[in-house]
Amino acid sequence: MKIRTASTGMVMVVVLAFACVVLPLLLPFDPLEIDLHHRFLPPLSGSHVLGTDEIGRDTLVRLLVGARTSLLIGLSAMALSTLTGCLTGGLTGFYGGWTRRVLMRIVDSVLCFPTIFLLLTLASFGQPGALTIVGIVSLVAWMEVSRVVDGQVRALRGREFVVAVEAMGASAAHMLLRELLPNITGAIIVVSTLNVARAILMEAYVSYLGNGIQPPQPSLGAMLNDAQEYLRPDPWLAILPGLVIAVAVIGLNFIGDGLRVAVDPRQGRRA
Amino acid sequence: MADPTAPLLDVRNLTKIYPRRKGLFGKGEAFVALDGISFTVGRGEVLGIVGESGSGKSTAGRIAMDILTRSFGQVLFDGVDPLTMDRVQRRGFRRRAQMIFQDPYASLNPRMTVEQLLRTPLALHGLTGTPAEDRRKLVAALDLVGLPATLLNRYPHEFSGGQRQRINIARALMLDPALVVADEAVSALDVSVQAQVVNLFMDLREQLGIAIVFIAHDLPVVGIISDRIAVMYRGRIVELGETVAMFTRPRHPYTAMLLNAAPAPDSSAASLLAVQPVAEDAGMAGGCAFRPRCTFAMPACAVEKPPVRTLQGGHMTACLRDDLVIDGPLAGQSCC
Repeated sequence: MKIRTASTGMVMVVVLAFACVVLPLLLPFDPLEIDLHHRFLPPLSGSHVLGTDEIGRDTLVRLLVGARTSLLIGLSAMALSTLTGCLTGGLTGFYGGWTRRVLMRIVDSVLCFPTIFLLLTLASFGQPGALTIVGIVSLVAWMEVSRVVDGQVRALRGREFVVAVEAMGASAAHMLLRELLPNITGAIIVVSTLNVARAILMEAYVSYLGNGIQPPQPSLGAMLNDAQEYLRPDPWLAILPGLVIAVAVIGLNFIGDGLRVAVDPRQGRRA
Repeated sequence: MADPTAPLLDVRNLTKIYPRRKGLFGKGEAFVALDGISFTVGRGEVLGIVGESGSGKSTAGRIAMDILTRSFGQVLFDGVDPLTMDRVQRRGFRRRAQMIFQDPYASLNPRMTVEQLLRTPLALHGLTGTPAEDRRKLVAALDLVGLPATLLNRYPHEFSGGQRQRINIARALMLDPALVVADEAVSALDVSVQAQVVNLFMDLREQLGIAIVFIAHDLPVVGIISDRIAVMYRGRIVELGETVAMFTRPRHPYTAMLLNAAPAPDSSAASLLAVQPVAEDAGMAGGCAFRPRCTFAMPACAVEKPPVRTLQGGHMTACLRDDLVIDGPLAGQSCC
């Protein structure tokens, strides 16, 4: 059953990603092109397949470019937070003792802050833009990876295959990278996948509240914000970006859940 | 290189204490896992260490390999303590002393092929040559342990327990060690496979002159392979001596009990020693730890920890009773 969920998620994400990359090149519109003669066109009106927004920009092309940005930010934030998480979790799990006590208390204290407020506080400090978002989203997302890696490394550190190479004179780096890491990639992939989904949601929050991708560049969150004013007469302006976010996040979560079962069958059955 | 007549491994007064904490801040009583044990292993010698679970035998092996910290005592490998070794000496120690673990399933990285597993020690010590040379070494090591070279690309899960232990042994041999510490290396195996692996250890010792510390809980199995045997009980060595002497005339009641725990049909000591249930930690308060289970205990046994007495032929025992005459399974046989 879980296999089917994962495949469904895979199809959703792959189709979305493919559309984001290829379709904007084929469509005859530019995401920034204003056309004041054709404002608020409803979907399926002529060549504007999903209509136009309040200043006549093509909704479909903006959605796709926005989703592309979201996916890229999600992936980059995932890469950064996974790297940070693996590094911190690997060290704490491997060395234990004071290293672990200090670093894990930092993780705990960062986790104490409500994510959204932390995100917005951080966002208000930085120059709005894609790179800043990647940075701040990673800053609030690395802890989970860190915890997972810490736990896994700790569980495997005392296992005989690790102690065996230690007794042969292996360095800490060798043990971590060659012996431990290959045995926990499954768990890392699972949290990372779920982190991409979270990062996309967070990017949407931040952009919705105006601290993220700046206009006129399209962004799903900013499109939602713009659509607020026209919710009554033109609801599709809000529904469509919401739908794209949902497809991306649900798809990625499906993949993550499916992988989780593949990696740890026991946990899957309990859930 | 140190004096060639000196022991390869010389362990002196090794002690390991685990502090036990009560609650968050309180101090509990410490648990003494190793209580000042001493033994030596000569070049090419096989020393067996026997004892039940919790007796400290694995702890001793791990500290000797310097993969576990000690509380007190000395470990001298070729006359040098791993704690005081410089980088170069340490590298040499890590190459010349190898360890084999109890669980053949857990001691091989499941993500590596046999080839990768066997290459690892070479890579760690910068001993890799051309691919062809390396391959020859791998095949030679596999051949020594009786495995065909066709298995090089397989993963550990494709092997049986006995085969995996052979792979572990082959891996240890890659570095041409002088000492192998086999920590319960055959305990997890089926009896028939056990015999094969024990035979393999004996072959290695004969062919390669490797000294072996053979740790197990099964005295008869240890007896097959060992020149000398150390019997451990609750963190102390209670008896240490030549294998034959041990099997002929055990000096410590615990050794006698272990010997009789094995199926030995004409054992006259069986009636003397009944296994009695023991309360946890009974006897640790002072005096002989074995006292609650011992049929020969006297009042003095509760007072002081029996000191180690050295008898004829370097046989050592930590029992107050010097008047015991216990027959082992080899008693009365004219052997050796």
